[in-house]
Amino acid sequence: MTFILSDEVSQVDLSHHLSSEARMRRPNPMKAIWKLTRRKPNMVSLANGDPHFSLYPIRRIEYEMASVEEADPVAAWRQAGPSAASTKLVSSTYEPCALPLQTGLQYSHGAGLPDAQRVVTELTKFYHSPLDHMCTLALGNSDGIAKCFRLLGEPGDHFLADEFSFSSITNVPLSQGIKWASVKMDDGGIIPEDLEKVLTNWNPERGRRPHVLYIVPCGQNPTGSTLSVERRRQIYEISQRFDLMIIEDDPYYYLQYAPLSAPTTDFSTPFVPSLLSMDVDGRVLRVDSFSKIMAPGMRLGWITSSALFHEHLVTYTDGSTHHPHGFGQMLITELLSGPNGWQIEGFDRWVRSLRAEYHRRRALFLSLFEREVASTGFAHAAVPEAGMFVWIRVALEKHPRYRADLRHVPGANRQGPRTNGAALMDELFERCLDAGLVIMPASIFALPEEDKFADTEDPVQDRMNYLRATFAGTEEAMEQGLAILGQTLREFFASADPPKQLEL
Amino acid sequence: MATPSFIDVTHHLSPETLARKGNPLKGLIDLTIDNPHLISLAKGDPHHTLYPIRRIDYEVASTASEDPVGEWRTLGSAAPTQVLSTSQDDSTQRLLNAALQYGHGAGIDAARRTVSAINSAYHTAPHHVVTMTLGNADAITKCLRMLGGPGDHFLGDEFTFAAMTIAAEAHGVTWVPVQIDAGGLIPEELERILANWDPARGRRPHVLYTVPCGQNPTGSTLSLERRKQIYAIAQRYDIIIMEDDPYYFLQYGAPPSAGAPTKKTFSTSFLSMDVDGRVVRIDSFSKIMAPGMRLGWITSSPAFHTHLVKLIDLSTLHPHGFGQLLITQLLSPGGWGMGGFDRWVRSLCADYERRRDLLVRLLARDVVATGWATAEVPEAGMFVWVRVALERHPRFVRSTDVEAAARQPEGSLRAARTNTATLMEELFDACVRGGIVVSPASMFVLTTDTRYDDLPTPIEDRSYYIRTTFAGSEETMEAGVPILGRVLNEFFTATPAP
Repeated sequence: MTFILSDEVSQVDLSHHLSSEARMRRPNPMKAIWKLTRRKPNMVSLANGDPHFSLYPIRRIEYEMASVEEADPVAAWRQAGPSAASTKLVSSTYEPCALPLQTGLQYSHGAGLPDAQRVVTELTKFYHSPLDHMCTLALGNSDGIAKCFRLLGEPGDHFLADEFSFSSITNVPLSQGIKWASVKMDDGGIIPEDLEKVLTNWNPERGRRPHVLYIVPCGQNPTGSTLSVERRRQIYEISQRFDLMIIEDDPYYYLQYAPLSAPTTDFSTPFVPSLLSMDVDGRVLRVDSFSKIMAPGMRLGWITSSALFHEHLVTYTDGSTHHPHGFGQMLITELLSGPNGWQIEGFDRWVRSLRAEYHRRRALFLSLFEREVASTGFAHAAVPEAGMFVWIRVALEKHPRYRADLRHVPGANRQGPRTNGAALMDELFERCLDAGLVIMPASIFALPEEDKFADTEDPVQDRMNYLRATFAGTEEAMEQGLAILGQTLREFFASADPPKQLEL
Repeated sequence: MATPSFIDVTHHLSPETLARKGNPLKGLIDLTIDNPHLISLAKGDPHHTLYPIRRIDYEVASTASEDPVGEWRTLGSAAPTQVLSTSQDDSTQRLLNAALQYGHGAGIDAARRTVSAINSAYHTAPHHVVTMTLGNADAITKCLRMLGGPGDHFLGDEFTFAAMTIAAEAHGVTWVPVQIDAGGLIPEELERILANWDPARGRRPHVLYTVPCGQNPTGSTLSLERRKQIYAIAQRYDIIIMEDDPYYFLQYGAPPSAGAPTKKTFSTSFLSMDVDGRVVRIDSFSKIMAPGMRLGWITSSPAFHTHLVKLIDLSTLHPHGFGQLLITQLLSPGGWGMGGFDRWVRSLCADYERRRDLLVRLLARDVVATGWATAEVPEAGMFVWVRVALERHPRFVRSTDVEAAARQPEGSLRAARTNTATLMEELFDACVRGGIVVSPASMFVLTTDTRYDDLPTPIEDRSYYIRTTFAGSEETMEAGVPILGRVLNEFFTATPAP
């Protein structure tokens, strides 16, 4: 199928994707009043109970930040420590700055303060050149995605996602009555043919055919896979054919690496085009965050979408969290457009430099893995193309107590798992813990799906033989942790008898 | 500490809350936090050496004087300040990193201890626990989700902060208005509704949402006696009280005309009388510091806290580090301390009281003097609720029962009998044309199901109010009130519209 890039956003009406809740939600009656205060130049307002800014007890905020003047700012920042060059971003009531404090600390519009919204819009344009989209500030990815789920999901809906997904997100909509339908993955991420198969063969008994796809296209959590451009185009085309909305959750977008053989990821290495950049129909809701590239405690990010969904997100924001905190909005405004800020060019240097830093960590992790774990012959690590995680395959089939004949045991569930892989992985996890290591087992990430519709040909319980490990932590943690993992694997694979405290 | 006899709250939780499973990753994360000796390859958190933030300085007002707000306003740029600094390079490093990393859904320990200290200073609630929030709207809407599902009926003041009540309607909650007077929610009305609840409407209401100090929009404040009555009713009928109290520190005591000098004491909150664990109290820094802070806290029983944290972990996550850092530093001994905080809020209260008195004087001179309106002096909050004497308007119409009923949709018992709504719209438009924006009562009406007698008289017939604020500048009030007076005069005395 060919991919057509148009200069104009097509007139696809996507309003039928909105949930009843979104449709039922009435706008804040105060908004109409606020609009009136701007109607005439000299309108006097006795309407809103907003504390006057002369009563804010804060006069000035200074953020001392890394300087990005160096060619490799992250390395300089790390290595020089307290003496590293820095820049001071100021938001104040009396000094020149991009977003003065008296504005930054007021109540504002649900989408965010205009200046803050402007800078994230420019950032989005810089990397994705979206056709005709708008940005709505949010409080990080979790918040942004949770809002999208409320906007789109009806009780009884099924949403599509990778069969191993970030469960902190996939657990979010369950209590709303939204269920998941899983799509298979391989080393390259979600398999478009399987996505198409799930949709084509959708059993109407399960309910409405899925209309939302949740996807982490770069450095997928937990498998570390990254979708190629070709796969992205296929997925977008399938979404057009089956009328899906796509929630593009992309916290690791900037952490896309060159191959392992390369000594580093060059600054000039391009980023893979996002699904947003291909979005001619306005069916992508892209969720970005500063958490992984600056600090998680910032609790700041944004959603990029068509105007229709932007309006609904704003209405929902006004009736829930309200706009994000002024501190974060002031920081990013000063950072990206203020007198002492990085500007977008500096931000770009920071993220490319950060990417190189994580490339280095990835290399360190994988070489330690080779030495301590792969050498046992019992586990193999996929090389992630992006993100912060390594997906480790455990060769359970080599385990003395591994069984693949569970369905043939008398009285067994013929539709159930064929192997005892899941139980063996539970044991391995406990052994690691006893040995002093916390590592994430695949079971935590398996997408919850209703038993009666689960895939009985290839049950996911038979494919739980993976662990997720991160290279975001300290070098000491990687060295010690991988040594423990190697040792534990040796002991585990040598244990022909089950440990007394565990029942299998 | 003895375990208090807090009620079991399971039956108050919405179906969504009951269906919400915990975040499985959280169990493992908590494991790593509780067992620091464990090596973790589990969490994908950026290391703090990669945060590009080295130091955050907040330059804040000094609270050394007895009237810090007065000093802050009058001295302007010459007012004394202090700088609260948190940095990677000194002993505040741990606090900075705690604030900048992912943390516990309830907020960082230091911030929770800080707001607990505020609670201890002003309330008595030794067995309740705190959950950090992103401000009032966030807290209220989360509580509404925690407690309310499709088919639920919740009780609220008949004039209320509609932005919040609308939020609950979107997830299937219907509101039941309770009549209020100059003293706020009328306990006898609350009891009447509950005692006469028709089971055909669905489950009897189990949640009351109220703003007890400086109620928005009427400005009323519940007396201690009324609070006790309401709490007793809540116990009798097993109601959860959502105490939304953003103006708690803006309590002015008796109006100036009362004679004796007013002593600024803060009233006893519902929280302080909460022996059952049925009060969910919502506090915010918005009105006492700055709205853009987006930070507050919920105080509740441990049971509700657990469910709130589960909801937080699967939505917004914990609040931003910047705000938590600020309040921790601000209320620590190196900052304002609790003493300085108290001086700040009391002097803030005095400042708002002066503004209130100004608005009241201006209204008396320009609006009440026309004879077409009256206003009560609020004991708390930021608003004056102006009562327009619509019944004296030349085109005011009061219809008979038969006429009114004929106009209403079938099944309505309570038809509006006057043209109050129409006239108030005209008045509002006249204000806008005259150059002033006010908040008409219609914006605050809690939607009524007219098939039932929740209110003794139709609210549309009593929506002859305008909410005005004294939160703005003196110039704004001095410019706006005379316009309101002129508009009222014209409205009541002009020749009839064609």
